Parts: sequence; structure tokens; C-alpha cells
Amino acid sequence: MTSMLYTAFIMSNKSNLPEEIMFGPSYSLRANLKANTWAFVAMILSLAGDSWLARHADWGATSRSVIAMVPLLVSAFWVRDFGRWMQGMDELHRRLTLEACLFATVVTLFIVTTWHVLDQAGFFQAYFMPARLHLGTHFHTASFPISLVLAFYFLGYTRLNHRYQ
Amino acid sequence: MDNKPNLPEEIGFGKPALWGSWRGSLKGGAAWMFAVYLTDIPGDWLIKHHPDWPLALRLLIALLPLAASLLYVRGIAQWIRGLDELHRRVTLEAFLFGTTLYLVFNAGWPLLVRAGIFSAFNLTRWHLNQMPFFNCTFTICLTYLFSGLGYSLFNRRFK
Amino acid sequence: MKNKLRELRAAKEWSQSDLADKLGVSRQTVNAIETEKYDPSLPLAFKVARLFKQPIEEIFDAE
Repeated sequence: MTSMLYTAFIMSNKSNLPEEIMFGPSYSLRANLKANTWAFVAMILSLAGDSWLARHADWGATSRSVIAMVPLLVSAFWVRDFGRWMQGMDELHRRLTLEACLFATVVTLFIVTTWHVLDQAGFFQAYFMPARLHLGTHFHTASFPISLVLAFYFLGYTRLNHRYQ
Repeated sequence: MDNKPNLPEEIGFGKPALWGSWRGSLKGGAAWMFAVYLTDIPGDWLIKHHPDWPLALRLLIALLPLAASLLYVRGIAQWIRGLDELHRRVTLEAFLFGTTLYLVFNAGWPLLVRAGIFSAFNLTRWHLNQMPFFNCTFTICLTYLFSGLGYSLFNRRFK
Repeated sequence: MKNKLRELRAAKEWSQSDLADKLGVSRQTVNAIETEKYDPSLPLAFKVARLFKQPIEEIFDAE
């Protein structure tokens, strides 16, 4: 009886694993939703809001601003949930995840700045405008940086974790 | 010979009264930071005033500050490795706070511009509707400011 | 940091997962400590010492 209770205690006290939100053998949809639900909500709201704003240019500035800012406010919930999920990790994973998050945000900042710099220099106009891709305008939504941060977090974590394999 | 760890005050975090000399800040990649400033704003001016220049030249001028920024980030990373464990933890958290806050600012401000809030409330003075300026200088300055703020917040736990 | 974690664990016939569960950390952390790629925090080092009923200096060697 005591060993069953001890086992139950241990199981409920298991630390969160970074691999649970990465596609692989340890992937857990539940863990992914626990950490990243608000990120997905923010991305969907951002795309929907962007399309809405394009079609309702006659709406007042206040309502347009609220629609524009909602994805960012929702992202704050994502940061909170991700932070809580990180706190449930053991010390090594927490350190790796912190470094991976920093890597992801720095690389995303770099890409966003590079994107704009290339746009200013006329790179997209010279090579892509004929294809009507309008690549220069795509970073003005919340979903672009969120996707980049998530992608580079996975890349960064995999690279940093390599040391401990 | 010098086994002393680096200090956050060397790059301007923590109490201003304890900030070291500019020589100390060179350890944190400050030379590359100045290289960014020196290539960025003049380069921006050149590109705006010479749209007729060949694309390759315009790209080279535009990418110079980015290359300097990469070297600056590498300098900061090396400097962080020389911090003691407590300072390293607080500094990493501060930089994460700073970069995240800047990304939020970066994503949010153009949304407000597109929504028309600056024009609607007559806030086009000081080029507010053209921010964030998306150049390396602005990015580094504002990220640094936010990181310094983060450092003050997170360091409180250990006071 | 050098340590005797692997030997102490083997003496008890515990797997890395068993030890990780008892310490409240992941198996990867136990492996990283044993292979001397990661230094545990002070609270974790104390947990290890209490678990094996030995002083910290007997288990971990900073030299």
C-alpha cells in the first residue's frame, strides 16, 4: 500500500520534459497544449484579424486597434503558460530551455531586422515582386515572429541538448 | 593570470555608480556595437538617397551592420560565459526578457500603425507612425534598454 | 565535476530512471551528472548525499 502511494506521488511529481512539446517518441499533445495553446490562438487571431482589417478599412481607429492588438495580448498568456511549464522542469532542462528561448528570440530579432533591411535595399522588389509574393509586408503580423520563435526554439534546443546526449 | 569573473556592471547593468570604464565594456563586444552604429545610420542614408546604385552595392551597405551585429552578439555570448553562475543566470533571464519585450514591441507597433491609431489621434509628430525603425541601431538600443530593465527586476531577488 | 554517482547507483542496483525518480529529476540529468557533463545545483547535491547517506565531499570531488 505504501509503495503504491509512493509510486503515485512520484508519478504526479514527474517534471515536465522539453521533448514533450517536440515531435518525436516523447511527444505529448497534452503537454504541448499546456505550454503552447495561447501561441496557436494568437497566430489564428493574428491571421484572422489581418484579413478582417484589410476588408474593413472604414471601421474606427479604436476598434481596428483593438482587433490588431488582441493577438499580442493573447501572446502574453502564452509567455505566462510557457514560463509556468518551464518552472515544472528539472534544473538541467530549465537551463537548456532558457538558453534555447534566448537563442530563438535573438535569431528571430535578427531575421526580422534582416528582412526589413533587405526590403529597404530593394531586394524583394528586384527579385520577388514580379511573382507577386509581396514578401516585404509579411512580417507585419504577430504570427510571423511567433512561428519563427517556435521554430528556432526547437532548433536551438536540439542543438544545445546534443552536448548531453 | 586574471581569474576574476566578468561583472554585469561592465556592460552597464546594475547600479550606475558601479559602472566600469569603457575599456571594460570592450570585453562585452562594445567595439562591434559601435561598428554597427557607424555603418547603420550612414548606410541607411546612402541607400535612401541613392536608389539608382546597383542592387549588389545597396545590399552590401545594408548587410554590413548586420554582420557587425552578429559579431557583437558573439562578443556578448563570450562575455556571458565569463560571468559567475549567479550573474550568468540573471543576465540570461534579463536578455530573454529584453529580446521578448522588443519582439512584442516590434510586432505590436506596426499593427497599431496599420490600424491607423497614430493618424486618428494625431500622433504623427516625431515620426511615431514610422517606428519601429527596424534598423540595427534601434534594435540594439531598445533591446539593451529592455534587458537593463529586466536585469534590475530579476536582480532584486538576490538583494 | 568528478563524482561517484554511477558506482553508488550500481551498488543499489538502481537504473538511471529509478535514481531520477527518487531525486525528482529527469533521467537525462542523472546521466549528465554521471558523465561529468553537468554539475548539479546545491539542493540536488544535498538530495543525492541524503539518498546515499554519505557526505557530499565523499560523492562529489571538485578537483
